[in-house]
Amino acid sequence: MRIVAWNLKNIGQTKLTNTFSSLLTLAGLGNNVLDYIVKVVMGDENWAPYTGASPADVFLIIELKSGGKAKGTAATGTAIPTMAAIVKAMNDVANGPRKLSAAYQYASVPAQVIGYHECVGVIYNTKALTLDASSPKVLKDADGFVLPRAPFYVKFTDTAGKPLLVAGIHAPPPGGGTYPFRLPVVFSNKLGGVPEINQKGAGTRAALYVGGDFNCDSTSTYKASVKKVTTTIPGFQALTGTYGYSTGIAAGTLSSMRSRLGTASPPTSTNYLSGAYDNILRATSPTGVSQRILDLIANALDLSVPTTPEDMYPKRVQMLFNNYWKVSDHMPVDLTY
Amino acid sequence: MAGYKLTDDYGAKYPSLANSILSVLVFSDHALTGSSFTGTLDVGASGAALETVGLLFGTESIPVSGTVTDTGSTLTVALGSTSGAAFAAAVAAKIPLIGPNVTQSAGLTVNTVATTGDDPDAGPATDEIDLTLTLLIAGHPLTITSRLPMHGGFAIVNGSFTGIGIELSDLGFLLGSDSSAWFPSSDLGAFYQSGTALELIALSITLYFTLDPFAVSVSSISVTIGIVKIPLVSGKIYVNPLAVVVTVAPGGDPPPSYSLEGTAVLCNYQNPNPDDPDFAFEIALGITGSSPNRTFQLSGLFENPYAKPVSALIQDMVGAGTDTGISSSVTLEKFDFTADIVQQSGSLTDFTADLAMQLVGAFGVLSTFELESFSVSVAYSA
Repeated sequence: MRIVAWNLKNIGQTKLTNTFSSLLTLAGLGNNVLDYIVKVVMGDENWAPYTGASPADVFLIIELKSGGKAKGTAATGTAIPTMAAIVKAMNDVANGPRKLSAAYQYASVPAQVIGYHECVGVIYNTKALTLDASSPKVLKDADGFVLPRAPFYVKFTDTAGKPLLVAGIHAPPPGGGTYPFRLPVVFSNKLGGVPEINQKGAGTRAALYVGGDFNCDSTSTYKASVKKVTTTIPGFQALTGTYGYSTGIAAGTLSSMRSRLGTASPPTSTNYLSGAYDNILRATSPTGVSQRILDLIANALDLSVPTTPEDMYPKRVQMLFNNYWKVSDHMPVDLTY
Repeated sequence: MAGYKLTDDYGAKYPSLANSILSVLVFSDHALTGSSFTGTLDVGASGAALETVGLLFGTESIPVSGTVTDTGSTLTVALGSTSGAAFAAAVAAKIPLIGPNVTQSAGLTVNTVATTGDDPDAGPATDEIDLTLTLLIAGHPLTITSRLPMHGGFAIVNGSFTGIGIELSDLGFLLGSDSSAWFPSSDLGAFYQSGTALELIALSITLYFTLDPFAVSVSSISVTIGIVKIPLVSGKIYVNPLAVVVTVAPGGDPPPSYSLEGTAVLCNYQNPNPDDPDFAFEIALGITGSSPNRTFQLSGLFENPYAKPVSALIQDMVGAGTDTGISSSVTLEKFDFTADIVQQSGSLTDFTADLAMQLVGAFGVLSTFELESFSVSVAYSA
């Protein structure tokens, strides 16, 4: 099973058509944003040496553009053709020369608005998972919909008959002030108050994966008064501290793009990445589970070089950096077991 | 000269060309007279750059012509292939959906602009090589383009158009002869009846290429069909156009889907002309309820600074003479609009708009407040 969560920064139909510099296309990374995305999630030859060749079984698209702002209503506008195009493209690859169709066919979950003109897209492998059609919903805590952008929750059943649940999230961004991570940390801990996520009283804990852009991680903190005592509150505290969630992403692993390329030499990922923002928190830990942030800059290959594909990083980091911004400002998170 | 690259002559002077498509395009022959360039691209020698398009066009050589202009500090290369009809025939044979009656021309274009001041690592600011297809739709030759596909994969050949009147039957060859299977006539209520003028706003064909063996198929087609100048509040707010975005996959899997998008325009209160509005913003429409008592829920969001005074926009929406006390020097930063529209009448029943602005000028009666930003909510009910 492979789950990919990827903030695609306001993705819509127009963005799918955006193109790259000619030499990035020549390297085989993509003819356009749609092609780039599908190559990554399908484990195409460009990425297989790094990601493995297995396509995703669940693809959470964070920051999918929609009309409307009423949480829980059907997504409208560009979200619909965007999802249709991505699903069809993934099926074309599955049905193509790689002959994956026996194990991989894709459909999407009808998206719902989670916040201001935004929804979460969920694409799943119908050969591995069966959708509980009544399950998709935008989640609430005791105060109503989680603010500002509520999790989008979907329940599947795998081929062994066991539930597999996902919740796609998009936390508020950090701000200024003494505790810039206060808002995303508060959001990450609000998730612990959502019954579907905390699974209190549910008996055996179901396999639930909360994935997306948290805009913080466990190293992000703010201070608040708890019972009149000033207390440092870290991100993920409720889920990992109280409700038994865990993650295989090491604390502090960077995943969001810097706005300008740094110049540190010798080059490191801090030249192009900044915040430790993206993650998949898991309620259970299946045997063999592994997680990582996919660094699509450091691991890009140039397929145009005859015989052996060549590493593009660090020599062509400027081109990779400029072009990745056309895809997103976040790297994808990958969970495999 | 066989094996010629433009970088042979210009690479030293324009170092960014090392990270340009010109560094890999190989000509089997060429001639440059003044700025007039002719040559023949060698598909095999150009490697992966031309492999996919060579297979699509069924050729090992692509004759091109155009201009190569060197001012001393800027090199501008603009080339286009010259065998449009022959390549069109090859494309039509490989993609029957856009067969010989439709495909008028096919080719590639190269556009590069390099300067001596470019960052060599980033390449030239303009460096494009595109696939172009010209299709005949409703009697109009319409050109759609894509970045030239390389290494197979998905190419999205697309274009946007204005003033292209169509009937649904004109798109039957692409989307299916039974338009009721893909166009939501009944869902559109008062917005669409028989005879409503339609325009083709955009066409996007996603092609899927595989190389070994070579094959090309149509992955999906997205057509944006516009209905123009729909009055929501006559004289004030129009949808112009309402865009019906139809997405179809050949073979019907997944089944056709559509979304309602478009542009809403706010007319000037003194000169209410939807073709010359004060303000335009992108919208999406959702549908709730069951026909014929459905409601369209329109929402639009504009998140960029705009030069129009907020005071004028409020008068556009609510009426001339509405005095908010906001100086005419205060302009819009953000605009959020929602409205409900009854399906049968197509008229707007109510709307709300939130306008956010930065305080950069005097602020009328509010000038004594120390504010950095401000927002106004406007509500309307029929």
